[in-house]
Amino acid sequence: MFQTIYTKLQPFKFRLTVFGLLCGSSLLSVVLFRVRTILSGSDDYTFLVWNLFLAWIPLGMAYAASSFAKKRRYLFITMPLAVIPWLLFFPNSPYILTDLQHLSHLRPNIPVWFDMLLINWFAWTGILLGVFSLFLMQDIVRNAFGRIAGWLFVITVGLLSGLGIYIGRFLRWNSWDILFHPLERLRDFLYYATHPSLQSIIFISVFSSFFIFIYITLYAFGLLFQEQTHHVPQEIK
Amino acid sequence: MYNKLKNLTYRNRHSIAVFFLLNVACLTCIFLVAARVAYTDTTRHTGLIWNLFLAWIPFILAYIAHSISWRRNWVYLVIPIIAALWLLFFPNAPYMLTDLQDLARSGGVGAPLWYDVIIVVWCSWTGMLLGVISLYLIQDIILRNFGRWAGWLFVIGISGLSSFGIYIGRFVRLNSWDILQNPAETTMEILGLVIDPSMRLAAFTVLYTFFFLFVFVLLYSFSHMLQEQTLRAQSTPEQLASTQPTQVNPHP
Repeated sequence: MFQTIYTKLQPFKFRLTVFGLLCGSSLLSVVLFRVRTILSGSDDYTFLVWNLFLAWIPLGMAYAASSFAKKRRYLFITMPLAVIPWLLFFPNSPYILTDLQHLSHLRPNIPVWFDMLLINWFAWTGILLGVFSLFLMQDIVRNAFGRIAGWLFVITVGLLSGLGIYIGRFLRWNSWDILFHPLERLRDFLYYATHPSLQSIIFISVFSSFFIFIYITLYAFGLLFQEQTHHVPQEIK
Repeated sequence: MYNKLKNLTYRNRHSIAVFFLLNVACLTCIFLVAARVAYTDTTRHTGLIWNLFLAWIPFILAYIAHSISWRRNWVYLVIPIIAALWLLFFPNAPYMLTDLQDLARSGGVGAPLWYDVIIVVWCSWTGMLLGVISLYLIQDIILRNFGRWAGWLFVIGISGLSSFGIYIGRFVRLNSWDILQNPAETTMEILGLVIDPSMRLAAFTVLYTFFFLFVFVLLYSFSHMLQEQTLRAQSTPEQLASTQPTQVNPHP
């Protein structure tokens, strides 16, 4: 019984570890937040918990999508159903980074280094949740359309996530607004898209390139392990 | 000759890619800070560039140690020297995390706040990645020579020491090279901290140790996940790589 479970799970060992660590770090960051609330008696940074919750949604969707992808038959019906909401919620994961701006307000009760660690913990968990869910989606795209399509997908999503962060931070829209006020939002969006400000261009390009950089570096870092553990001599003809 | 070089590059293409990407990240940081300096005429955040430079030192030391570690007779001679230097400079890499406090001091003065946020984020993440990768390289040497458990104990020990190092850098304002310049004084100062630790020191060290360990273990498992994925894909090429649980021989 345990043997079969073990052999079933063995090839997914590291995937399960990543999942467990993300759960653990989310829990720990919420605990830190609670400690801060108790020590300071104020409820600053409550929004971090909410943002972390939102950051988990795309990962759940990516898991759902990769289990849909098993049934190749209905792929063309189930995939858009999974990918579009995922894309809507995805920017919530890297969005937590911009919460670092709250450090600039002085909070007298609690030392800065604690707040710094608190926000860092939330932000790193958020980014890594995003990287992990993007990785799951890239895998689906690669299996369906090939390697190059997979990387094009990553770059597109990276750019869109910069746009999403900008929309969330400056226009204060939520992922679900498009469901409740679709026409209004679309009209406003088209207006802003045709009259872009300098601020929006810089913001989007810098944040997008940051996310893409993190993703590619972690990916290359992963393959570095492979290079060193296997030592398969692959010669070029 | 040309083919040999081509093969060498091809075999090490991922380490070259990581090296290249980190360089690009540093150039981006420098560019962002330079743009801010040019735009606002203040020299705020230029200290970040210096810290980034310091974060590169342990990375390069680890790189050297790792590339010469394949020769057995070098391991016991040269590596300890490099490792000692590496240990001294290592805390500079995760130290970048605490540069976020620049935001608390002077965020949003002169330039928009979000711009300061992204400068600090780029720098601190680059520093952390430099630290994680250099620790990985050193851990790999230890894994090969002394086994798995030694490697992980080493990582835990280093995380604790590095958070202590961050504390020393942040609150006592000592530099890595102070121990070489006036060893007696610096040792006394550090001993004083260790013998009579304050509440702040304990809380700071414990929390940053956990944070660094979390980041390291997570990036480690994430990277091995990629490997797992390719193993599964290789064992059954006709099946979907991500979805079908297949029997994988653990010792290929």
